[in-house]
Amino acid sequence: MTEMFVSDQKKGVRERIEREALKIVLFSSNELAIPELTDLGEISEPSDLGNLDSFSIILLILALEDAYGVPLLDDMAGFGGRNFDDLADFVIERLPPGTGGQ
Amino acid sequence: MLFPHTKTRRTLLRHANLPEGVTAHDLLLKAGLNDLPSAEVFAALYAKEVSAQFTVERQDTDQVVGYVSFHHLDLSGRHVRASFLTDPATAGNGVGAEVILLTINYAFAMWNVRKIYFWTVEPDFKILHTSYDSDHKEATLPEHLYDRGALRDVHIYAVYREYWEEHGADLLNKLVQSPLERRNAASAASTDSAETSSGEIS
Repeated sequence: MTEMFVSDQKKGVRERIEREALKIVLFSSNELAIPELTDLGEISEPSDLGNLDSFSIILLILALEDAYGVPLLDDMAGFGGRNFDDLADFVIERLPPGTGGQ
Repeated sequence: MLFPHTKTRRTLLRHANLPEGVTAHDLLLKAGLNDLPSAEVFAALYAKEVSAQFTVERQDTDQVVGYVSFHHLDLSGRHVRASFLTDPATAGNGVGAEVILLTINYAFAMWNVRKIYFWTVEPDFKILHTSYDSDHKEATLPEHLYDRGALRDVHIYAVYREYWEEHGADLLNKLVQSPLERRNAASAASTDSAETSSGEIS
């Protein structure tokens, strides 16, 4: 595995985490409706696991499991990372070799 | 029909059989849980007229990280009160939310109740992390509970069966299944749907 592949893979996983986390925050702020564009200014984009509550974390992990097809939740209770970079590393450790990040 | 799940892939509710003379509060103190409510709050909000009680365990370590109880079951009014707590130090990364989902689902699956309600001294209590929470605060009892020399407000929240069946049960099922099982279930549902459509056309 080349250094460039590792870097691209991590970037891809990290971007996926950010996208899913933003979707969850938008969803939970207005339940089942998609917020109007005018509402977006009131919602801060999550940048860290500390910005997410307990429910948002399980929604995020389920979304990542579905995206990558690997179990993550089982090991998450002992996960001690606090930011999206740590979570990206946690996901990558469980991906089959050669898997991209998107 | 709801299945009375007592575990997800990483979190287990285990029936608590307390030895004579041992309270659930004693058990949790002995297990080393952090941030336990005082004995007065615990006795008033968790341990009166109990119908069922569970310790919460992490499946990876078998460590006790919380407690769930169901009490004041009223089959005529068709409601039951539920209480839960988890140790934030050992039940992080969403385990607390899983416990809430298991608790609500268990009550609706086990008893013919139409609502489950929670009494809490937490002013920013969240059941399901949606706008549903603020809509379903049913009451506040001002200065209701004596706690270490002071009177505290008690807030009452409720979840109704219709809401749970429509919005909550599926999320819990996802936490029970592995990603592969979810994918296979979705694929089977899609095949069934296609066969039904094709049957309707012919």
